Amino acid sequence: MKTVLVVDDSRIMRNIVKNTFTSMNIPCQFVEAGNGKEAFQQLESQQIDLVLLDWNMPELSGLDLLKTIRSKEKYKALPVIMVTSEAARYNVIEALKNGATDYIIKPVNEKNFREKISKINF
Amino acid sequence: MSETKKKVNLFTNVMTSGKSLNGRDESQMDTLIRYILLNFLIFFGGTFLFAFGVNNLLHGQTIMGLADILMGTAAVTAFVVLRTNAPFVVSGLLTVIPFLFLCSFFTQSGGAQGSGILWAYSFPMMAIFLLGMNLGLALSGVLLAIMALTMFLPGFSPVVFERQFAYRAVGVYVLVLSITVMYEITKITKDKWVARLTRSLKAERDEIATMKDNLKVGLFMMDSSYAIQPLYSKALEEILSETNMQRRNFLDLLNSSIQQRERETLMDYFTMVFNRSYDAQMLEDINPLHQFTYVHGATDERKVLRCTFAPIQRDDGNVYVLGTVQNVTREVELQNQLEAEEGKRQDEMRSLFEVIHVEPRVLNDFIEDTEYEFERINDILKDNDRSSHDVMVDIYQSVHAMKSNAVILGLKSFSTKLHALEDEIRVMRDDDREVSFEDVLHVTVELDKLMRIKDGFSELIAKITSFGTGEAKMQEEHVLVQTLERTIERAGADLGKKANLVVKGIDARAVSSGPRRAMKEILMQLVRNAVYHGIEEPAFRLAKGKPELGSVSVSIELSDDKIVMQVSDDGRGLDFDAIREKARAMNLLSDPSDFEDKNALTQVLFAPGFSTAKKADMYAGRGIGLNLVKDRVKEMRGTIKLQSEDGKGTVFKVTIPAEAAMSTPVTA
Amino acid sequence: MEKYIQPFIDVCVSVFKDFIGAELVTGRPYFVDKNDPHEWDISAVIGLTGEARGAVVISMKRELSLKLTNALTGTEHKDLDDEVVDAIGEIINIIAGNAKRGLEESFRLVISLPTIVRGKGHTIMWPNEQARIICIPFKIFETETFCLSVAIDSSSGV
Repeated sequence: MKTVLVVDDSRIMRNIVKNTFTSMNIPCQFVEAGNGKEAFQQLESQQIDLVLLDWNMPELSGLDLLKTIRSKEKYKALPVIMVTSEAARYNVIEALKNGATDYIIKPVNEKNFREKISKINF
Repeated sequence: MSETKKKVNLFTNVMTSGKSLNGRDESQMDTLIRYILLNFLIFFGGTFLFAFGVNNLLHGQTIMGLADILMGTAAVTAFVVLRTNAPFVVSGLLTVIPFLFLCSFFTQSGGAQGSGILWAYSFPMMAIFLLGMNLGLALSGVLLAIMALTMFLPGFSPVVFERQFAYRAVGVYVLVLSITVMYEITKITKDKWVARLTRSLKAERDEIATMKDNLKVGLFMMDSSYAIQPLYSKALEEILSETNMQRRNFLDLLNSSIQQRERETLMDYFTMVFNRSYDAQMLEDINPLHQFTYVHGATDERKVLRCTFAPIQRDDGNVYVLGTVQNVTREVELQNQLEAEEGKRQDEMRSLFEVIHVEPRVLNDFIEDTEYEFERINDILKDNDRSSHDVMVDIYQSVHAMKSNAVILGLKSFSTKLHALEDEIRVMRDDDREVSFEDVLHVTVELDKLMRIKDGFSELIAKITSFGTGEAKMQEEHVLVQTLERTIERAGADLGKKANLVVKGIDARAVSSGPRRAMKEILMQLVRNAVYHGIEEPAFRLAKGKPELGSVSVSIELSDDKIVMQVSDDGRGLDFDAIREKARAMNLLSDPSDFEDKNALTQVLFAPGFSTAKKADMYAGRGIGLNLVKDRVKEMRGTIKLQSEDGKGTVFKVTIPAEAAMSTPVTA
Repeated sequence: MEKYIQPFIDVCVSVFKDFIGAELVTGRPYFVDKNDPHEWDISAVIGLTGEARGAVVISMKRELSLKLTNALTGTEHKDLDDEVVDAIGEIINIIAGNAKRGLEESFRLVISLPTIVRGKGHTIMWPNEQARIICIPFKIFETETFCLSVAIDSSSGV
C-alpha cells in the first residue's frame, strides 16, 4: 500500500489522484495537508511514497517546502511532483532545479497524471 | 602605425607590386603568386646580375659585363612595368626573353670550365612558372635546341665539349624541364580540381544562404555563453527589430522583456537544454519563452513571440542551442478576438465544450462541491446576525475554493468568471467601509449566473450517464453515498473530528423511486448532526477506549409501503444536561416536570432555533438543522424517532410512506 | 439582472413609505430553491417579458396582510378574505405601475398585471425553468417580513 501526500487546498485534486491510481491498479491511501506545516507533520509521522505539491499555498510556498524537503537526507529520493498553473513555467524550472521529480501543469486530468506516475518507479 | 608594421606593409607592397587582390578568386591568387615570384626573381636575380656585371667589367670581360648589366636593367624595367596596370605577361616576357638570350649566350660561349651552361638550368622553371606551360615550354625548347647545338655541333661554340659531358648536360636539362612540366601539369590539375570544389561549395553555400534568408522563421545558434553565432536567418532581424546580432548575447536582447529573476531562471533553463537534462517533450513543456511578449529595448515596440530551443552538437565537439523564433502576435490576437466573440455569443456552449474534457466522475465531484459551497454561501447570506462585511469575508473562502477547483479541471471560462467575482469580493472584503445592499445584490446575481452554468454541467452529466438506464439508477445511490461521505469529511474538518461513513445497506429502489432530494437533505442534516454533536474529539474518544475514528452508519430500507432511513453514530449520545440548560434559557418547556422527562427533552431538540452548541458557528450553531428535518418529515407525512445511549451513541430513524414519492413536493 | 431588480426594490420602498407610511428595512438577498416548500400565505406575481423573461413575486404571511389591510382601509380582518386580497392587490398594482414606468422606458420590458395567489403552501408558477430564486427580505412594522422573489432570464446574457 502506497501512501500519497497531497499538499493542496483543493479537494478535487484528491479525487483525480485517487481515480488515477485506482485505474492503474496501484493500491494507495491518501494523506492531506493544507499548508507546509501540516505537510511536514505528515511527512514526519509516517512513510510517504509520493508527494503532490501545489505551488500556491498559504504561509510556506511550494518552492520553499520543496527546498526544505530536499534539504533533509532521508527525503532526498522522495518523489515530489509539483502542480502548477500555465502561466508559471518559470516556477517549474525553479522547481526542477531545486530537485522536483516532475511537474503537472493545470488543467489536471487522469491521462496526464497517469503519464507522470508511470515515470516514477513505485 | 608602428615602425615594424610600416616595414611589413612596405615589404608586402613591393612584393605584390601594390596589387591588393581579393583572395576569393582562385585565378587571381594564382596571378598574385606570379607577381610575388617575379618580384623575388627580379630582386634576387637582378642583384646577382649587377654583381656579376660589375665583376666582369672589372675583369675586362666587357661583353659579358655589359650583357649582365643589360639583363639587370631589363629586370628593373620589368619591375616598374609590374607596378602598372599592364598585363603580367608583358613583364614576364620582358624578363624571360632577355634571360633566354642570356642563357643562350652563356651556354654557347662556354665560360670558365664550360660553366656558362649552368645558367640554362634555371631557365625552364622561370619560364614555365612565369609565362605558363605553353610559352614556357616553347622557350625552354628553344634553349634546349641551342644547348644541343652547342654540345653536338662542332664549330657552333668556341668550346669543345666531351661527348660524355654533352650527353649529361643535355640529359639533365631535359630532366629538369620534364620535372618542371610535370609539376606544372599537376599544379594545373590540382587547381582545376580545387576550382571545381570551390564552385560546388559556393553553390551549396549560396543555396543555404538563400534558404536561410528567405525563412520566415528566425533561426539562430547560441553557444554556452549565449552568444548568437554569425550565421542566422534574416527573419530573425526582422522579428527582433535588431541588426548585427552576431556575437551578441541573446539574453541581453530580452532585457526589456523579462524580469531579472526570470532571466536567471531562463539561464537555468538553457543549462538544462545544453546538458540535455530532460527529454525534448519536457523541455518544451517548461520552456518559459514558449510564448511571451517581446519588448524592444529602444523602441518599446511589443510583439508576441514563440521560441523553441534544442541542443545540437557541431563538428568541433561543442554543444550549441538551436533556437527558432516566430512572431505569433497576429495568431494570438485572432485567438483572443475569436474567444471574445465566442464568449459573447456562445458562452454556455464554450463552457460545456470545456467540460467534455473532464471525466464524468470527476465532473460530478466538482458539481457536488460547487453546490456544497453554494449552499454554504446561501446559509451565510441568510444569517441576519452577521454584518454584510463579515458576510463578504466568509463568502470569499467559498468562491475561492470553487475557483481553485475549476482551475484544476481546466474549466477556463467558468474559472475566469469565478475569478472576476472573487476579485470583486476581495475588494469589498479589504475595504473598511460597510458593504452596501447594491454590492450584495450584485454578488448574489453573479452567483446566480454561475450556478446556472453549473446547472448546464449537471444536465450534461445527466445526459451522459442516463445513456445506460441501468447504470443511471446505480449512479444515484453511489452519488448519494459520495455526498454523505463528503458531508462527513467537511463537518469533521470544520471541527477537528474524525469520522467515517458506514453504509449499512441502501435499497436502490428506495433511492430511485423516493423523494430523492428531500431524502438527501434529511440524511445530510442527520449525518452532519452526528458529527457535530455525536462524535467526540479524537483525544476524548481514545481516552474513553473508543477508536479514534468515529463511525456514522446510514441505512435506507424499503418495506411494503414505507421507506425507513436510519442514521446512527457511536458518539456520546444526547447530552441531556446541555439540552436542559438551553431549554430553560430559551423557555421551551412550559411544564416544569418536563425538565426531567427525557422524552420531552428529546422533543425540544426539534424546536426552531434550538442548539446546544456554544458558539454560533456555521452549521450546527444556528440550530435550524433538526427543525428543518422535522418539518420535512412532517410534510411527507412521516415520523422521526430517536434513541440515545449515554456514551454509546445516538440513532435517528425516519420513516416516510413510500407513496410520498408519487406526490410532487411543491404543494404540501 | 440587477438592473431590473433594483428599480423594483426602490419602488417597493417608496410605495410603502408614501402609501402605507411604513419604513422598510431591506435585508440581504439570498437564494431559495423553487421546489422548496414555503410558509407564505399570499403572493402576488408580476410577470416580465421582452428582453428579459421571468417574474417578480411579493409574498407575505397572513398576519402581515391583515396589518397592511388595516393600514390601508382602517378595517380589521380576522382571516385572509376577499377584501384583504383586494387590498393587497391594490398595493401590488401601485408597485407594478410605478415599476412599469421606469422599466419599460429604460429597457425593452413589458410588465404584466399582477395575479394574486393565496392559501397555505400555494404554488407559484414561475415562467422559467431554472431552479433558483433570489429572495430579498424586507422588514416592516418591526416584526413582520415579506419577500420580494425574483427569477429572470435575460436573453442578452446580463
